[in-house]
Amino acid sequence: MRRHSFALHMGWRRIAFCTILVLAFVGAPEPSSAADQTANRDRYRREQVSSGARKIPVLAQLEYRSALDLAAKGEKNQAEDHLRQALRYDPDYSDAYFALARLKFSRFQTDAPVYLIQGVHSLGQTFRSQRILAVNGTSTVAYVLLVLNLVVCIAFSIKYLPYVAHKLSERLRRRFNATAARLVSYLILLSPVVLFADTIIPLAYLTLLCWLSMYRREKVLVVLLVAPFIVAGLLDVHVRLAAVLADPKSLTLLVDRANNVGADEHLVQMIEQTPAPGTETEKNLALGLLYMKEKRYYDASDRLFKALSLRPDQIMGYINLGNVHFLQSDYEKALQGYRKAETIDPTDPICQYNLAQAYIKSLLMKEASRSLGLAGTGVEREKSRYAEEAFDAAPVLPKLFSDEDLWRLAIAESKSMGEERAAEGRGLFPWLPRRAGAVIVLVALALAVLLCRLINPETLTFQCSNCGKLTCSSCCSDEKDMSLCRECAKTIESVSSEKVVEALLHQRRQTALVRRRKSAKLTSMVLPGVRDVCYGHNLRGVFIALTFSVSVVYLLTGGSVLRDPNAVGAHSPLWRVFAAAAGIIAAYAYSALSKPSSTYTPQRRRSSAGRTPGLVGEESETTHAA
Amino acid sequence: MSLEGNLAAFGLSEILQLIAVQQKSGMLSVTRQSSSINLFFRDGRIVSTRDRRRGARDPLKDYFARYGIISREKIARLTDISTQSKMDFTEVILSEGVFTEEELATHCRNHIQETVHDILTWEQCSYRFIPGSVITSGVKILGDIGVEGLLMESMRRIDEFPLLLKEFPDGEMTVKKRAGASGGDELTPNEAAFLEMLAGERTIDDLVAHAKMPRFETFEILKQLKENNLIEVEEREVREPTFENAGIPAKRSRGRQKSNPLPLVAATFVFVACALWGARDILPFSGRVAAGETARNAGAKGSTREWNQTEDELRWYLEVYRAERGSYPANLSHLQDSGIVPEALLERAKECSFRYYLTPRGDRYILL
Repeated sequence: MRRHSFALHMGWRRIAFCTILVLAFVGAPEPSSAADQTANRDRYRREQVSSGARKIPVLAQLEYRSALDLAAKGEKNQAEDHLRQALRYDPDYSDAYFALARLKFSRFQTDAPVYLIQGVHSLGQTFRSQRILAVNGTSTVAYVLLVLNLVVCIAFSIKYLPYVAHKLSERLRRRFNATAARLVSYLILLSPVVLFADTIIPLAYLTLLCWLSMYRREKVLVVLLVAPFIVAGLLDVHVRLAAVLADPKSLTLLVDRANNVGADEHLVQMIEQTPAPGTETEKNLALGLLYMKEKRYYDASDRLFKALSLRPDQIMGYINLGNVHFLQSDYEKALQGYRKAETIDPTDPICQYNLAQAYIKSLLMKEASRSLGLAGTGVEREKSRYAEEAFDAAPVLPKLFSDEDLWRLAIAESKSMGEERAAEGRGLFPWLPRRAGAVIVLVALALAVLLCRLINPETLTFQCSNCGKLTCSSCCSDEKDMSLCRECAKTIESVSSEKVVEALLHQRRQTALVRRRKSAKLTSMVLPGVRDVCYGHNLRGVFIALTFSVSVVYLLTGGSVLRDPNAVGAHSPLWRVFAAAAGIIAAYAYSALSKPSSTYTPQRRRSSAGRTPGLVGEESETTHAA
Repeated sequence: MSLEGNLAAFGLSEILQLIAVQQKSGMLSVTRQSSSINLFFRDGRIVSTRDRRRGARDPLKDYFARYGIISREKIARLTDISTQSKMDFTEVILSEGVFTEEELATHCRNHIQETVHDILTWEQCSYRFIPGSVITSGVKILGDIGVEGLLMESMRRIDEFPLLLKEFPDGEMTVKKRAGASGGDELTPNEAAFLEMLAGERTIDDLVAHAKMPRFETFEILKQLKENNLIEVEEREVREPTFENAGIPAKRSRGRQKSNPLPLVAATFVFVACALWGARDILPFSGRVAAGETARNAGAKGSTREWNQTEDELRWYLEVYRAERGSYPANLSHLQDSGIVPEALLERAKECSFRYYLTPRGDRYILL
């Protein structure tokens, strides 16, 4: 019996041990259950508000994530609540507006467009959105232009490179009696293209080769397409500014963060360490602001005084200096600071609001009332950009950097940054030409124009008056007021009758035209828009090529070269791929439908005698009539 | 309804007369073994022998070539022009001014005459007449000829030609003008022209080939000249055919000079070299690949912007973690376990090899 009870006793111990283990590992509550999560978020919110943060984007993102999860489960009401909560944490959170608009659309509610408009509006509200839009927009436009240039360059090469190849092949045939002279000439002409394939040189080189044979409208098109690259490459502004806007540790972005966050020691350290040649004022102002949030009033005053000593007309410095005194309950000095700021800009709502608060503390109610009246709706507008509670928690409003200030700072920083740092911006535009590339393109264009003036137009390749085949002064024959190619001339050789000549040339023209159109149909389908440009429908070709370029760039980059850490769901949804693919297919289909114009006019032989300035390469009255 | 049969039923002359009497329009096709001749009638008169259907041989060209009326080279050229311009052969002849319309009509009539003469001499043949004016609608009429006169002339030729052949049995016989012979004013223009041609010794075949008139007429003129003692005819000794006397060149020289392949080889070499040099960074066997790859990796890792971006994103997610869990994670692997951070960011963070330290109180961290 004792033995049995012992065994039983041991059994209970084992059961208890196992139960504890199971409870510990399986049945125990998760480290962060829903209740814990709510408590944690609440604590985080209180911390941020008390530390002087204007917005709480971290919590806004968490609410947004929760909303997305709930929406996916079909719990749309709750998802909507979370999105509204996200907007309370960050009133400029555009993703939340868009998600709300989507939800409203899915439920056929009429206020969906309002949220959509608010989302679009909030995209331009904050510097953070503006800089991401600017960088992504610039890079996307640059890539689209690059692809567009590539398509147009290929189109003009297909159209006009044979002109140069013909001339070269005639030389080769005459001088060396070369086998497959046309092939040899193409190999020679394309060698530099494959040698410098990953640079801008082929574009410049092919433009130079094709320029002599181009019509004026085509030259204008080329210049228009190439001009942005030349300007951007020479000025290099986009690269320097992008380097600032894309670097999270640039002074501009750190200052922008100082605007919104609460006390942040790490941010202070980073701003302290950031070199700021030419932007010392902004650096001191930002540090003053952060020290004030950290309640290090002595350091804050020091930094603000430094900023004011550098630029005494800084309203921000005076207001925040007043704030520092206000927070230390020294209302007299605070009033001095605010009054000084008022002399600089009496309409500033924050200045007037803080002045009113100081008057109230000094029991000067009449003045307080006047200042509050002057603050007016400006304060309300400012309040709308604060997270809920954050505005009410602040006894006085800090004067923050405006978006214009930040852009000015970004430009100033981009100008003063070193070459090494500026080169970082090139990572966002890896395929765009740099200064050297821009110079090469510019030189190529200048050389092309110069060659147009120097080269005798009679020596250029032109199209046979009858069949349109390429010919030149060395291989053509002038018969019956026409410049005929070798084949056409051979056809009517020793034929005296006008009627027979007419019939022979007509037949040859038809045959050659059909053959050429067949070959053009094949080669011009390499890229959409090429066919249209080859057929002379330049505008239509550019439009198709533009559609194709946009689709390709969207497919490859998704429109965002610069990531926003605040954005949720950075993955590319399938509809984007389909949309881009549809764009590419549509461009190809539309291009395939293109037909040559019904009236065929070959490029005629030019005469040097009647050449007028600026008309080189253009159909004009100086050319022989076909 | 077509009329058809062979010589056992009706002779060709009867058929021709029938068509003429009935004033029929249509095509009479006479076939002997593989050869076939077509005669086109309009209102009972023969208007052409030229079958212009696709692939059919133009007998007029053979006629012109056979009697040297137009040289073979010129015929080839005119045919070429006709093919290229899609114009009729006779139209090209007239346009190019080879003959006047009258001359061409005479030649055509002669050709019809000779054709009818030929088919009437056939001993075995079959015929088929397809009536209908539609058949002749596309036929170019240069000179029509009545059947009755044609038959009479043909019969005369059939009767006389064997006699002429007795006079000149061998085409290799040579003919030459007698010394001091001159016909004076009695000769017809054709006879006078012939006499001029016979200034040197010529064979009869050669004469026929250059006489620019039908064979029968040539023989008739020769007979007339012989009877007038203006020419003398001799048998020619047969010589072994050689390349020289046959007029065939011993070795055909090439029309085109051999072209030079050196520029092609050089251009290909230059192009391939340029392509290889241009693509040296992406070629698998290039030594620069490893260096390029390392440089790219170094660029990715060493890029300050990339580094800062990754650090910024990591700090963001550390804040998210704190807001969610109440404190910063003990180490970065906890961040990974939480499922908050995207995988791509964690990979980038690993590449950048960040160091993360949490303060003992857990309210601050150091990220290096």
